[in-house]
Amino acid sequence: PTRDILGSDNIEQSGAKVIEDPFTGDPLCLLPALNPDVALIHVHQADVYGNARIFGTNLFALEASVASKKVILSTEEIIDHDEIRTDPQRTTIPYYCVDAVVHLPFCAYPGCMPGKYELDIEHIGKLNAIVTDEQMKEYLEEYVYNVSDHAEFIDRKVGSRRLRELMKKASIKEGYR
Amino acid sequence: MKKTVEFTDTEFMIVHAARLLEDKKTFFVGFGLPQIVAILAQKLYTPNIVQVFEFGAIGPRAVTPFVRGTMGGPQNTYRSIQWANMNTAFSYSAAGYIDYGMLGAAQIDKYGNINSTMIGETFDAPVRRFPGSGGGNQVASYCWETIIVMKHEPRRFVEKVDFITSPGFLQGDRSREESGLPSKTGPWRVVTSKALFGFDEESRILKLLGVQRGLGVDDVIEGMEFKPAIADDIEELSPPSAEEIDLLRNDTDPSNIIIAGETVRIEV
Repeated sequence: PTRDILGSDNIEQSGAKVIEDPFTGDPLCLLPALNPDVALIHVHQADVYGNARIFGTNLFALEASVASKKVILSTEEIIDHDEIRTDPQRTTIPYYCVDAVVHLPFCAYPGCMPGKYELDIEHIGKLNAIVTDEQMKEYLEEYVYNVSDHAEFIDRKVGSRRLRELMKKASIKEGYR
Repeated sequence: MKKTVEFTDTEFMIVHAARLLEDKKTFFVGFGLPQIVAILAQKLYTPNIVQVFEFGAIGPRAVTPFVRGTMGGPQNTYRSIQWANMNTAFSYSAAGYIDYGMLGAAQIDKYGNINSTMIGETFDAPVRRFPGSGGGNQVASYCWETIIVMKHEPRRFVEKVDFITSPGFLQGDRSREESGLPSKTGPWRVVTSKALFGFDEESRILKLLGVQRGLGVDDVIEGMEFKPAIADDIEELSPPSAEEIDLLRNDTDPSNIIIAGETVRIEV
């Protein structure tokens, strides 16, 4: 239940319904549950069971993990299970929401991983400049279909020099340890 | 001696939005232009304004220069009082903790309803489609006072928006409250690149409050699809000050990401 959406045209163009609040008698909006088939979530640290930590703000990592039928975590770092237990406050997602854990450093590229590496604004600019299907196809051809996996993408399309620059630019560490 | 000041239409909107804010209030800050408004206000006028991001940062002291594309990143969320998530941030707004919200609009109508979804007669066959609400609907629904910032193009002021993405006063009078939206919330000011509007307290119709120095009332309302209410005393909106311009160009947005726009020249 929510009070937003009310009064707007989003109600008609979505699954939302308006009912009478049984407590107050006022109009109230109900939203249907959203259950994605798969969620791909990138985290700072996870143990092998899928207990995961995201440092900094996150949009809806836990909610998406709970709601999705399958959850695939990619992580910058695999940590010991004991480390999770020594600082449980930092656990963002518990293991039972998670179906698979993939150790995949730099997976947030060209986005930023707070405290680890900055976003690659030039590459983001390239993405943002895409307006036609043709341009999108060209981009995917060059950066996605043309490489066999993420490691090859990082090696060939980004390179260690660029990665080092982005790591150096991530100078704010406060709160991300 | 007369002197000419030069600024962009975007800079004009940013500084007039920043000058509206009151200190020690909470401010729901959307992506892009509102971030620049918040940074400028925090540095010059309202040091204790608390920014709230839908990404979950509460009360950050953003590091400048402004970084685009990473609202939840380390620069924009630096030294917050809380790092949470979207669910929590919107819960705060739903519970009435957020004073100001700030939104853009592709179209606005006389009751302050905002369209950022599509232009056209029917939803399925639009002439143009826009990105849609994002968190805009929630900001407009819950913040006590929503400020709308938009480039001054009279054709974007319409009798009735093609699609209500974010609610204003709906059909006027008490229709907003009657729809179930929290009472006493709603659109408060509309800042454009040439004028400042509020809303009539009874009818809830858009009301002209101020015009840019050198312009008259007719200059800003001509071409609108409806006639807004006009305040008895129209405020003259001064151009951005040297201090504001300096801060925007040399500190906050030196890469000219947000502040770029059409050049305006005014004699002072």
